[in-house]
Amino acid sequence: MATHSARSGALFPYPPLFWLPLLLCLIGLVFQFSVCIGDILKSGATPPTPLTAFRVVMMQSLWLALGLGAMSLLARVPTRFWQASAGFWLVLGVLSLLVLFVPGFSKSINYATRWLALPVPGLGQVLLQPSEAFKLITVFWFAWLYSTQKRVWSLWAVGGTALWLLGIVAIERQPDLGTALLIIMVGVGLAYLGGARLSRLMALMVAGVFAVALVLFLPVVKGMLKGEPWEQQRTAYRLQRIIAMMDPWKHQQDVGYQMVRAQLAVGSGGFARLGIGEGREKRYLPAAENDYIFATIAEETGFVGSITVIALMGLVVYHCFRLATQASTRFGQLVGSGLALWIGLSALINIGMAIGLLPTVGLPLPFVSAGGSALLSLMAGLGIAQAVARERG
Amino acid sequence: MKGRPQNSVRTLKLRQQDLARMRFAGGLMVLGGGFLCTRLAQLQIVQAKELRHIAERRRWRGRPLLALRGAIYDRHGKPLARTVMNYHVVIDPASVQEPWQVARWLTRHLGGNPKELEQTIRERKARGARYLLVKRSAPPHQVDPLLKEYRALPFRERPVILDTEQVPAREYPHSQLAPQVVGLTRLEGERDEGFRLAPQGGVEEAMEAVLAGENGIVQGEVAPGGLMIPETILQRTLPKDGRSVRLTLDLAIQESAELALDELWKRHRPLRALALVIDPHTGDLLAVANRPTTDLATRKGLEKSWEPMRNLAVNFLYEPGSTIKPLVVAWALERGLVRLNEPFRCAGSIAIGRRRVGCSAHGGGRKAHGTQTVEEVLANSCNVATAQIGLRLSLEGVYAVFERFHLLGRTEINLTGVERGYALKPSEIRYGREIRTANWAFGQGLMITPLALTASYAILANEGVYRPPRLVIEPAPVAVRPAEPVLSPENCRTVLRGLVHAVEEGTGKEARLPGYWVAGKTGTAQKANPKGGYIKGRYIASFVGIVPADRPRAVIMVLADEPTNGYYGGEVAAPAFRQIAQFLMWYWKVPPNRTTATTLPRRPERWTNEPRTG
Ligand SMILES: [Zn+2]
Repeated sequence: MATHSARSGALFPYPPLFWLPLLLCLIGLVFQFSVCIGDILKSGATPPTPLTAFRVVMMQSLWLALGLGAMSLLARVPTRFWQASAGFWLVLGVLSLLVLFVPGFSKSINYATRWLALPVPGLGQVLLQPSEAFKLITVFWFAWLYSTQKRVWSLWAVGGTALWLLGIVAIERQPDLGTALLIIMVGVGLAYLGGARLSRLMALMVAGVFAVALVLFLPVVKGMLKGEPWEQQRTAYRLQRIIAMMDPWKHQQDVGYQMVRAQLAVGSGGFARLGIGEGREKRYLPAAENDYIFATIAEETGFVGSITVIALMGLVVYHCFRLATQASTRFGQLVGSGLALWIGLSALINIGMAIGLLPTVGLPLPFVSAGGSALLSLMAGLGIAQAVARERG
Repeated sequence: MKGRPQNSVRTLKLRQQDLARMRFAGGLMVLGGGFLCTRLAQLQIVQAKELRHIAERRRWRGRPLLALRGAIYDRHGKPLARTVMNYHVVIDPASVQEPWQVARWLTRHLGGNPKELEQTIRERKARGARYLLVKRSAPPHQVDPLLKEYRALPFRERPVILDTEQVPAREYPHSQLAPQVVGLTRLEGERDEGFRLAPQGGVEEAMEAVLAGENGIVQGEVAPGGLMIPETILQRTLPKDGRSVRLTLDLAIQESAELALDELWKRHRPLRALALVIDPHTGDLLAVANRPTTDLATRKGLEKSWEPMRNLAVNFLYEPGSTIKPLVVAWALERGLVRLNEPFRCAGSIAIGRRRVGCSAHGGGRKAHGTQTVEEVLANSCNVATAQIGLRLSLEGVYAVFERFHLLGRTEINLTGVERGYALKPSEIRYGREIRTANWAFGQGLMITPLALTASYAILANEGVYRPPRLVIEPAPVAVRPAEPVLSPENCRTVLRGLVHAVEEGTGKEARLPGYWVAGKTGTAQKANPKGGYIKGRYIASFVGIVPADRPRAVIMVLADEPTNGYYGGEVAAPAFRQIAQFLMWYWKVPPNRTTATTLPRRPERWTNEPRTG
């Protein structure tokens, strides 16, 4: 710790924020591989080539390589650049979210329109998720908002925040309420850490709770007016999921199915049981390599493994905060805090969902879940954190 | 947050308020982490055993291993019914993203209307159903290409979660031959306990114990795709396939019987009709053809009523009429109550008690047969003489005829719905015993099945020895009933001579066959009213014949219920008899022994090189 300045010439001036995420990524690859093995039996026949069976792992490895490249590249970009271009990125981010609503550009899976489909020669269709990049952009924007010298609600600030809210509405309409809520929480959290007045924050929170309630109950009320009982409305699935969370066993035939399956997987893990690749319940989990990867980890490594993953996540968050305290600029400080909020809240929500503390929302576990856009955004964020570290002194 | 570096060069002084807020935010997250750890401890330590148990029980499945139902063959091993494995194709409607694409893909392989299927998928999906039976019992040639295409796709890229359930199905290579004998099956059970074919009538039902077999089971953990995970299989009981059944039917003869009935059906439009061929030396049923009939594969006509599946040979009771006379005469000869050259006088009618019994001429009115020998009595089908012979036997004696020729009671045969022939017991009859005796002697007042009558004629054709009718060759019955002598061969020959006369000169002229001697008897019985008496204008026309009469090879019975365009057995049933007999003589290559020239029958194309039957 005594030789920070000596390290500033190194590739990654803040090593824990390189090694810890890398370790988590490798853990993620191992368990994605394990899920793929479990899936082979599901398909009912030997797939034509191993490549198709392990496509998830191969793609994730590529994304990881890409992410490490981006991280080392961005570690050398001065943070001033980001501070100066925060508004530009915000506009770009919102635009990319709006493009999803143009038919032809986007790809829908399970009624959700979250992906830009890019044909890449040799890899087939590569899916990009703009909402993942928007998380990083949110960190930029609020870091910029609370690090600019003149603390006036300039046209820029008001307009930018309005744009940001538009982005959130776009995400909610995908529909992806989980991501929208996470981004709001990161934004509001950064405002808090950036020194926003408590009274304003309270007002904001009340407005937020009201908005969420509106989103949850409006479709229900609309359906009721048409005379459908809310249990049968497809649009009321969000409320149904919350109800199901209260007692998933009662709803295990429909909305509670994933929750029950996930809890069975986690419980099957015991204190330290099975072993990597031995999981059985993973075959029944929807999105086992993605949203529910923690359930597979818990099943195959038991309590010991689950706690280890939580501890590693905690360490990453701790180091982000620590970096924030050391930053030489206020922008850098807020970027560090923003990363801590982003990673910490994602992990809490994802794991909480997997073990039945929170309703089902589609949020990935940072670094561990399969998903290229999420990983790339996180690695880019960490690259900027390395740049912050380089400028410490 | 703690351990803020003291010696780093800083251009920014960390504000106290920022630090406090960071600590607060970090604290909240630590609290969240604490919740997670507590919950994990609860799930993975406290409830671990219970949850693992529930999970195991849910994954644990028993999968039936289906037994193959035994096949049904004719006497030469030609298949009448055999089992194939088909598949129910099921999908998970909730997994369908694009109903139209999926419906089009499925109907391309399985047939059906894609629009209707799309609609069904949409409806089920909206209701949140997880199970939809797309196609019942699809044959492998439809399902295999479908599954191949499906499995070539990686799990995630499949447009729908599809599964198949193996189901047994019956295949009928000769679906129009003897459907009433073969019988039908119905698919029963469900995936988890195993599908099976439940019999519906015929040999299928009668031989169920032999044909059925027993489903096996394999138990282990099942992956969501439906495959059993090999290393988890704990128990496996192999299925026991059903054994096959070989019938006495001969498909060539069966087809000729069906063709003969087709012609009868076209010409006389009866309510129902039957043709029955028996080998008198073994009792084997060689052909059993019924009208109305159906097609086992298409089940044509069965939607409305089960009548086309009715086997009249055993499931039909009727008054045999004149066809009973030869049996009465034979028994009287056997008992020595009638001598060979004894003259019987017929003046057209005879008074019995307060009633009068008469001989009717063809076309109505009375007819006096004059003085006749026993053979001539049979040739003329003389009621007056038969009544006299009956009276010599007495009521008990005529009843003994019914019993000795196995006309009463249930014929033991591997079929379902076998009716019980009946007549009042002599001890129950107090009044009019004499008129009853006369009536019985010419076939009124008793109800029997066509099969029983044909089997009793087989006694005449088999030198007086009764062979119980037989339908199944393999598996052979455990206890074979011994052959039972009823008549002496001499008396049999006497009666047969009389029956040859009946064909040559009497009522059965239509049954004459060039090159062969034919013995036979027509029967034209007024239909008995269940409430007593007879229904005017409704007849059952029948003909029972033996070919060749000098060295019998087959007993053939043809029966038509309520024929139109004529009602005499001689004009309705005898032509069909001749058609079948002619085919048999050609088919068995029986050398003609009458000097009259003979012509070969029309060859049914299917059996040009059929082996000679034993
Ligand atoms: Zn007469």
